[in-house]
Parts: sequence; structure tokens; C-alpha cells
Amino acid sequence: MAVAVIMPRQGNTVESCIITSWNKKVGDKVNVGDILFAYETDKAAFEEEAKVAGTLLKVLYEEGDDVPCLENVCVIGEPGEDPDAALAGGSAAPAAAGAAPAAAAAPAAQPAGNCTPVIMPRQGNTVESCVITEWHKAVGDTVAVGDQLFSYETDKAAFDCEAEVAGTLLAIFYEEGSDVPCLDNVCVIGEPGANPDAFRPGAEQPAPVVAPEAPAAAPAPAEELAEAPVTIGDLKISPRARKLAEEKKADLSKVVPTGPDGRVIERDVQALIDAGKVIGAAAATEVAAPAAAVALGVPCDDSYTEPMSNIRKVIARSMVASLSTMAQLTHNISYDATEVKNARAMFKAKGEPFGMDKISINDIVMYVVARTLMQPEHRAMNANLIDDGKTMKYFRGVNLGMAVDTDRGLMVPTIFNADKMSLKQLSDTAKQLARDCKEGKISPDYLQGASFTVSNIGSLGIESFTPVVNPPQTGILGVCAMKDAFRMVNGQIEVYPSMNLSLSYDHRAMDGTPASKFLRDLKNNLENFTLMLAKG
Amino acid sequence: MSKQLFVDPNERRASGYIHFEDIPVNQYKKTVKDEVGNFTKEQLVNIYRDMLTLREFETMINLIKKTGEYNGVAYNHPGPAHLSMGQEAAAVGEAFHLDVNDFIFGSHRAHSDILAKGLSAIEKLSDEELLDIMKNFLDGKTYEVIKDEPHESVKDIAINFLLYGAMAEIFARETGFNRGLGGSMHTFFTPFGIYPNNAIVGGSGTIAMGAALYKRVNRKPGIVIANIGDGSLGRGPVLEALNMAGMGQLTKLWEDDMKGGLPVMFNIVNNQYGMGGQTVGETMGYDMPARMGAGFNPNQMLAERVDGFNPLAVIEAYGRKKKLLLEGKGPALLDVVTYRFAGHSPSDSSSYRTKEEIAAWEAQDPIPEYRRQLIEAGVATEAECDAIVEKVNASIFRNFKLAIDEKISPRMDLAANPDAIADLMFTNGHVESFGAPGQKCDVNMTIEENPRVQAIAKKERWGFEKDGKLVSKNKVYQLRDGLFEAIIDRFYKDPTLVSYGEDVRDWGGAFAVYRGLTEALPYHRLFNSPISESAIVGSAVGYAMAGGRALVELMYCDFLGCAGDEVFNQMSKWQAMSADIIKMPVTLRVSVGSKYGAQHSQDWTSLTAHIPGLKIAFPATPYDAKGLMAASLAGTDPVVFFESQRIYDVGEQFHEGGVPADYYEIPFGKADVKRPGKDVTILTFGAVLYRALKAADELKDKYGLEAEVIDARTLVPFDYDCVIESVKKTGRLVIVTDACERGSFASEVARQVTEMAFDYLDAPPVVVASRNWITPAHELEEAFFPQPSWIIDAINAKILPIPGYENTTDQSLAKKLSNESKGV
Repeated sequence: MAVAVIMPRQGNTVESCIITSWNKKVGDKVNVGDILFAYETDKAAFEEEAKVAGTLLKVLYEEGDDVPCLENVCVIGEPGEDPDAALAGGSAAPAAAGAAPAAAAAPAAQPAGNCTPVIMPRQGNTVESCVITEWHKAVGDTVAVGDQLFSYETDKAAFDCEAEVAGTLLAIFYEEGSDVPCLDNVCVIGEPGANPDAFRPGAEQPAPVVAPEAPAAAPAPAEELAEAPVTIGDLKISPRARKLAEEKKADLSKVVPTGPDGRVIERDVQALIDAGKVIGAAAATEVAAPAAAVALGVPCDDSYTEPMSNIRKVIARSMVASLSTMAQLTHNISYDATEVKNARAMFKAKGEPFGMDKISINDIVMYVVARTLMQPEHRAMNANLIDDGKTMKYFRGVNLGMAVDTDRGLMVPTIFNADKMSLKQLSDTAKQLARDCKEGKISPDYLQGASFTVSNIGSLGIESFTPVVNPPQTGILGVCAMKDAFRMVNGQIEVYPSMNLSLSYDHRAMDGTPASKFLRDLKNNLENFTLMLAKG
Repeated sequence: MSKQLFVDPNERRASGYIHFEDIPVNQYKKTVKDEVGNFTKEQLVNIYRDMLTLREFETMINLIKKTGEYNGVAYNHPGPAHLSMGQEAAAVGEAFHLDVNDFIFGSHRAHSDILAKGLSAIEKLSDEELLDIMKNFLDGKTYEVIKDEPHESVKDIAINFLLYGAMAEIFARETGFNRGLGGSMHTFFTPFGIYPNNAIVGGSGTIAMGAALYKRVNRKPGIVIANIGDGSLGRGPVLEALNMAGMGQLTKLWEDDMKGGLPVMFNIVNNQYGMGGQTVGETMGYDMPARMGAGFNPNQMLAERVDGFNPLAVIEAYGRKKKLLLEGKGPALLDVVTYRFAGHSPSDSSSYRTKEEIAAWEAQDPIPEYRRQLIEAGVATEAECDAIVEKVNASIFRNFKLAIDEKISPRMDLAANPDAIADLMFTNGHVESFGAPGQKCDVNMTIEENPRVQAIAKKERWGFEKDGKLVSKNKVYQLRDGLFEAIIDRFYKDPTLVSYGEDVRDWGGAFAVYRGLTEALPYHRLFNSPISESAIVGSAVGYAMAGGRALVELMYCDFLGCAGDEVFNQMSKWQAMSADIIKMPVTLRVSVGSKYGAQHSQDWTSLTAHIPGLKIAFPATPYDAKGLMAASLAGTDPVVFFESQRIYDVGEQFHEGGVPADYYEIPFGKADVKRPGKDVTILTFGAVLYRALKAADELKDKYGLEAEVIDARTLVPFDYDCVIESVKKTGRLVIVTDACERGSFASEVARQVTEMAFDYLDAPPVVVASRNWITPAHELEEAFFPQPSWIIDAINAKILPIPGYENTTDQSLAKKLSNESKGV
């Protein structure tokens, strides 16, 4: 294939170069490394070597011509080929890998057998790209098999990439914070001195860091910047109010806009300041009369900021979306957990031989939830409201989401077909998913597709809360702490274990009565857990 | 109006006929041979030399435009070139009798006029005078270039100076006569009596008439010539000038040596075409332009048709006419028949005329014909004529090479000095008097004797009684008194100051500003003009160009359109176009009305503020009116001075102690905080100040908001510092104007402040302006002009919602969008 040779740009300020001599003429054989032509700027002289072998098919500029940088100068190819094909579609020939890229002074990049690229793995079918959160190795470092190279995350989970070959880290193509398309080369490991350039992703990517001495200060890619949503950015606020808020560190998250069309204006920020609603410290001291005899202290300015992690940003988006797009509300009910508690006690005491000693109260609740959801009258609770609130998608099985707290933040893996599982299967699956989440190994494929979610913070002693529905689901069950409750039985006070259930649901999908009926049925089923177990 | 003239019904109703004198048409038929005794040989030969010079000059430009080179030297002149080959005899004939005291004003096709007048002036000036002029012009820059060129005499140097200065100007070189800022259509050189040439057809008509007024009023020697084309007689301003130059009062009412029609010659360069329009038979009805003179005054403007292909015929006519003009028998109109061989411009293919027609005129080309006559009369030999041709051509070629040399004749370096033109937009001078040393102010009495001055002395100069009530209108010193004091003061300091407009004398001006001036001033310093807004402003421009100071007025702002070209193109541009060689001390009073409907109530400040080169004032208090008028009349720049008929009678309510009786000036570009406040800034232009103060009162009394009210006072220059300082404090800005909202100057300020003080703004600046409607009847005006409640509405709706306040007007975005979609 014919390849165009361009006039390299010798420095940023150079607009054009003059061809001083041609060493080849049209029809000549050309080998890689042969001098094609000599050229000069007003400051220095250069020679252009061939980077591909072939025949010189066409010469576009003669000796003495002043050639604009990056313009095509000649074409090399097979005899008989149409040289103009290499010239079509733009001045430089981007498709020709052999044609000099901008950095023409570098020797030709040859794919070297002694180099191994490391790609960005595809973490699940739906993942298009991952963000590199941290590099553990620098260019020039020695790498052993199993060494952590870098950490990365999707919007749902975080991962580490380990080296699968040993050698020296020769090049890093993406900096921390870069959003890397899956399967793109991220770095290259190989023998010292080998040229990793052949593995560099396409030219449209951010400039890689090749030389070890080059400062590793590549700017964050544009997507990262564009994606950083500042909550305050959504606020309509006058320039003056914004300036005042910045100066006085007013906490704009607490502002009440009173300007035209809901704009935050100066007086609103002043109200925050007057009320002491400032970031970092009690602002009241700032506005307090300095004449006061009692030292009221000074505001603590010792604060620091951290960027939100991707997962937090995703959670934030999802939660705000949930609360701002749905008509959700919460119903509470408590049930007599005597049977559940007994069952749990029995599993613990006698379940070990069957691998059932770890079945938890939560597993039991989820088991019963899955079955209750399968009652036809509760199909609206086991559903997604999609299509911008215009369509209900009902599930013929239960994909049960379960909220898992991890160091990185909330994750909700899905127990697919939970209604068809035995209690043991469900319990095992739940534990495996939770473990994967905590270890950051969970595949994003398991972080989606739920038809209903259970969230349990009862272990922290919470007695009632408002779980937030995870759209497009229509409901979420909050499981609270078990505690002793009292009731009158035949005139006697009786103590029994009670557990609160908090059901949030989307009023758009169903009304209060069916939601209440679901909660009532769930209560009944839990109180009659043995029957449910028997029913299977 | 004048009580001296009795309008007698018997006379006006009497029957009879208007009789016309015959208008001579090409009566002069002599040749060189017939005139040998009346001219020196040198004069006769120089006529030939001058015509050749004009022809070769234009040929040079024609060649570089059409072939890109002249005598093998390449040059690209992208600018205009309206050439005059064929018109040389008319130009040289006209210039022959003129000296440097005679001024010519011209058209876009003026190269020949400039050169002919310049060559004539050089003949008449002494060597010392010539050297003095050349060495002092533009710091000698132009002279430096040509002083060592081959020459046999100082006159040779001066001819080089003229040719080079004109060429350099045409090629936009800094060494040109106007530093390259005038160009081909505007080249001039006042030391030789060559005044601005105008690219607006007929533009010189009113201006030349104004220069003639200057000569009359200030007793200056010489006549003024307007070189305008046959096509320009279709323009209203030219007809206004023809009339005003011979208006009846000049012979009937003006006193003593001021008597008589103005010494101005309307020289109709009748080259048969107004661009492509054939004036005779197609676009005009006059058949011969000379006929026009008969309609304007009883002496028929001394109108005559002269053969402009015979230089001797034009010389003969000018000999007679100049004498009459100097005797006060003007004005005059000369229909000088000629023909331009080239197109209107190089791109003109002459599609509107036949080759036969051009060939027929070329067959009578005045230059070879005159040469034939010279030789026939024995005045010069073929060899002598050839030598002249050679010398002229060599001279043009030498100067051409100098004028196109980038090193010798550089252009203004706007990269090195980006403000070079900006610095020329205004002259910013302060001149007490433009009068000649010893020139006395023509007045009828001392200031102290003036009845108005005496009446004002009894008035209360501070607007409030001791109990805080406003002083009654009859006792208070009013805004109109402030204007009067500043004006009469300058009339007694600057003998060149004249004032005219519609009904300014006797009536005292439609709004009584000038009452008392009639008693103080003779006619020639204060007179009623015809109802000719173009002529009023255009003549003031000419008056200033010639060296005087003028205060003229348009009775209503709405008449500004009638003087559109004179305000927008003439008054505003000539300082910078002349590289500030010309000063433009013209104050144009413009009164903004109300109560009189759609064509008598408009505030057009934005139209004038848009035009670069005009200063714009709009005072709202007696103190400001007096101080700004005083500054305008002491300055050297053109000022459009807006007044509002709503407030001529207000007393001074702001300047503690009232309006000083002594002279003072308020500098342009200083806004005034009329009431300090901290919550919102209200900026006003003109009379809306008082409505803004009412709004400020209500904001304070009912809603506890303290408005800072700023009176802009001048629009150009505008005091952004003052407004920004206020906005830094308040964060809020409402701009109020009686102008219609769309494109108003208030909108301009809103945009600028948004840029300049964005971070200080708590809301976008809001403009409260008149509707984009016609002004309705007085009874409906409150729905049209900004009201105090509108200001509070705007604050409540767009800046700072006021608890408990209900808007009185629809301030919704939907309403605004709907209006805009309808174009209102």
C-alpha cells in the first residue's frame, strides 16, 4: 500500500521547511532508513529517512521549495500503485502507520516481541470503559508476576490489575483519572530499552508518558472534567451571591432562594451567613461582635477536600434521580419474629452439617420477600417502571437486589431468580455476592437487573428508616433491628421479639392500599415462616 | 418672523407677473488669440501646464487601477478612484482667479479641483509663504519627503509637495495631506484654501454655504465655492443650501456691512451624469442646471451656463462672479458644462452611454484644443509644449514612486500605535474664543443691560423654600435659565459664536431658552433659519471648518432624521478624517418632546451615541444644564446637546446653594450621584431622573430599600467608573430612559456593566424604557413612557422580589417573548 511522507514539524514555531536536496528520484528503490531528502529551517538542517520500504512513486515538491509542515512531500509504494491514493483524504496520511507522526525524530516504532501490552479488562458485558484510580508502578519500575500495576473502577465496582508477565514497566498510556476504553492498551511491560510505541493507543488519545524523565503530569482527559458535576452548578445563583458565598464559605446546600425564578441572590447567602450556615466552622463567631469579653473562638479553617469517587458520584446521581423523579413514600409495619428467630437459632445450632449454620435472619427475610413478591396481586412491587414512567415491566421471577455496605460505598448485587432458590441456595448466593462486593471483585453484570431490593441496617440498631427506591424498581424493603416488644395477652404483659419493616415504594406504580397489602402479607408470611419453608 | 417686516395683505393679494431675466448660456466664445493681451504668456502657458498635470495625475491612477502599473512600476491601489479626465478645463478655469482666501469644497470626484486650486495658490503665494506652509504642515513630514526632489524654484518644490501630498493621501499614507485618513474622496489642504471634499453627493452644498456665513459674519476676505455635480441638484440639502444662501433677511434685515447674499458659488460641475443617471432628460427636469438659479431669489443667483471645455470661458465667468460675490450680490450658481471621459469609477463599464457619445466629446478634448490655440496664437511653440508635457509627466512619475514607497511613505502604524485613530476622534480642546486677535464681539448691549439677565437676577437659584417646599415656577431659576446663562456668556467671549435654527430670534426659541438673546445680539449672530434642518447642521459644520464656533438647534429631536447626513456623516467625522487639522466646535441643541404624539416625542440619544465622533450630553437639572452647555461652548468637539421639554422649568434641587451665578463648567464623562443609597442603583438619562426619584421615594418609604440614583449627564463619553462603583456597593442596577427600549443607550450600558462588573451583580442589569411603539396621545402617554411604578416592578420581578409588592405591569418572560416575537 502506498504511503505518503510528510514534511515533519521541527519545533512548534516552525511553519515550513525548505527542501535542500533530493537523494531519491521517482522510480528509485527505497529501503527503510534510506535518506529520502534533506531539508532545513532557518535554524537547522535535517534529513528525512524512509520509514517504509518500496519505490518512490511520486515527488510533490522540488528542491528549493518551501513546504508547509505536515504537507505531503512524496509517496512510497509498490511499483504500479496509484500514488494519489495515499494522498487522498487530507494532507497527512493518517492511515499509514509508517508515515511519520508528529514526533518524527523518534526512530521507527516496530512492534517488538519483547514487549507485552497490558489492556484494560472488560469487566462485564455492559462496561464500555473504566477509570484508572491509582498507579502502583511507575515507568521504569521492575514488575514481577502478580504485582499490582494499577487500580481501576467502573461506575459500579473497583478492581486491581495484576501483572501477568515480568519485566520493566516501559510506558504508561493513561494517567490516573483517565477513563480508558475497555481492551485499550494501558501500559507496556518488557525488556529495558525496548520500544513500546507500537502499542500506543490511537493518536486521539491523551499523550502518553514514555520517557522516564518526562514529568508524569498529563492533564486529566476531557471526559473526566466534563463529568465532574458540581452540585452547586445546578443552583441558579447570582454572580454577586456566589462571590459572597465563596468569600464567607456559606453552605449553599442549605440556601433558600428568594430571587426571581428561584435564583439565589445576595440576601439569601447573607441569611445563611447570619444563621451560621457556613462550611467548616461556626460562622456565628465570624459575625459576632469582636468586642465581646468572652473569647468565642475562631473558625476552624483546617479543612481539606477530596474528589468524590466514581462510585459515590454514581450513588449520588442515582439517589438524586430517585428522589427527584419518583413519588416515593414509606410504610412501616412490625411483625412477630418469634418463628424467624427460632428458625435462625435452629440453623445455627444444628445446621452446620448441612452447611446451613450461616443462614441469617436477613436470608430468611429475603426468602420470604421473594415468595411474597410472587403472589400475583403484588406484581406491581416486583416490577420496573420504565419508559419515563409510561410503562410497567413486570417480572415472572424475582431478581432480588440486596444492599451491601462496602468500603467503597453502597453496592447492590442481584440474586437472580431468588424465588426459585431454596433458602440455602439463596443464603449461599447472597454471601458470595456480598463477599465479591466487599473484595471489589463483583462483576458489573451482577450489579443490575433487580426487580426489588432488600436493605438491612438492623444490625446497626436502626428501628425505622426510609430506604430509597433504586430506579427503575418500584419498591425497596428496609429491614430494621429486632427488639423486644410487649403486648397484652389475656391481661398479662407478654414479651416477644419484634422486627420493623420499612417499605418504600413508588406511588406512581401503585397506590397505598396494594402496597400496604404487600406489607401485611409479608408480615403474615414471616410470622408463619415455617409454612413458607414447607411450601418451598 | 420679524415685526420689522409688515405682511401687507394688499400687496400679497395684488395681481401681476413674476419676471425673469434671461440666463446666459455659453455666451463666451473667445480663444487664446482673442485674449493674448489680457493674460501674461506665463499665465496662458500655465493653464496648459495645469490641465496637463490634472490629466496625467488621473491617468496615473486610472492605469494603476486598471493595469496594476504606471510607466512599468507596479502598484495596487484598492481604494476608490473617481476620476475626472475631461473636466480639467473646468477645474483650472475655476481656480485661476482664486487665492488662498477663497475656499473650495468639493465632491468625491475632486482630484482635479484640488490640484487646480493648489497650483493656482502656489502661483499667488510668495516663496516665503510657501516654505512656511510646507515646513509647518504635519511637523514637516510631507515636506521632508519632497524637499530635495529636482526643482528650479520654490514653486517647483511646492508643486511636488502638492502632487505628492495628494497622492500619498489617496494611497492612505501617513505623509498624505490628512495622514491617509481622508483618502481619495476626502483629500484637502486648507493652507491652499482647499477644504474638505465630500463623498456624500451634494454634501458640500450646505457646508460651503456655512463657510460663506463664517466669512460674512467674521468679515473675512474671499469667497467660497461648492463644487457639486449636476446630479447633486436632486438632493434636498443642496436645495436647502441654495435657499438659505440667499434668504431674504440677508438683504432685508441684516445690518450694515453684514447685508447681502452670502459669498458662495454653487459651481455645478455639469458632467452630464449622476453616476449613471443622465441628469438631462432622465433624472432631472431642469433641462439646464442654470435654470435652477431662477427659482431661489430675485437676482436668480446670478445663474449662467459656461462652457467648461474652454478654460478661458470659465476664467472669464469667475472673474465677473467673484467680484459680485465680494460685493454681497451672491449667492451665485454656475452651470459649468463638461464631460468625464472615464467611468464613474474604474469598475464602471459605461453601459449607460454609447461609445459614439464618448468619442464625440473626446474629439473636443479641451487639452489638445487649448494647445492648438496656444500655438496658433503664437504664445508657445510645439517644442515648448512638448517640454511642458515632459516636465509634467516626469514630475507625476517621480512623486508617484515616492508615494508608493513603503519606507518613504509608510501607512499609519496601527499595530505599533493601536490608538492612533482613537486619539484623533476628539480634539478635546478648550478654546475661549476662535476670533482673530482684536476681533470684537458684535453685541447690542452689555450683559448687565439685558432684560433676561435682569429678570434672572430676581429668581431663586435654589429650588426649595426654607420649609422644604419647591419654589414656585414663576420665582425659581429654571433649567432654561441655566442654558441661557451659559450661552449668553459665550456670546460675549467668542465673537465667532453664532446661533441659529428655527424660531430662535424674537420668539426666543420654541421653549424660551433664547429669550433675551434677541435684544443682546445683532441678526448675523442670532437668526431664524429656514425650516431646513440639513442646512442648519450642514452650514454649522462649514462654519466650524472655516474657523468659527456655532450653536444650532433642531426644535424637536424628531427632526434629527431631516439632518441625518449632516449629523451622522459630517459633524461627527471631519475631525478624525482630517487628522484633527479641522476642529468641529459645533453644539447642536436637540429638544426631546412629550405631549405631541408620535413625531414630536422621541428620545433618539442612542442614534447619535452610536455614531463615532459625537459627544452626547443630556442634562436634567439647571446646574448641570448650565455647566455642560458652558463646557460644550468652550470645547472644540461636536456635541449633540439633548434637552427635555418636560423639565425646562425645573428648579435646582440637588446642587447645594443653587446654581452659581458665576461661570463654571461641568466636564463631559462625569455622572452625578443625585441621591446616595445602598440597596439598588438606578441610572437615568435626562428627564426620567425625576420619575426615578419618585420610585426611590416609594422604595424607601414603603419597602425600606435605599436606591442610589445616578444621573448619567453625558452619554458620550460615559462614566462607567461611577456606575460600577455603585454596582459594587448595591449589586443591582436599573437603567431608565425615555428612549424606546430596543437598541437604546440604556441597553448598551446594561451590556457593558454586565461585562465589567459581572461578579458584583446580584441580578442582570434591567432596562426600564419606553415601549417599542409609537408615542401615543398625551392622555395615553403613561402607558408608553417609563413610570415610577415600572421601576419598582422591574426591581421586584427581575432583581429583588419585594415582599408585599404587586407588579403593576406584566413583567413575565412570556410577555416579553411574545412582544419580541411580534417585533414590539
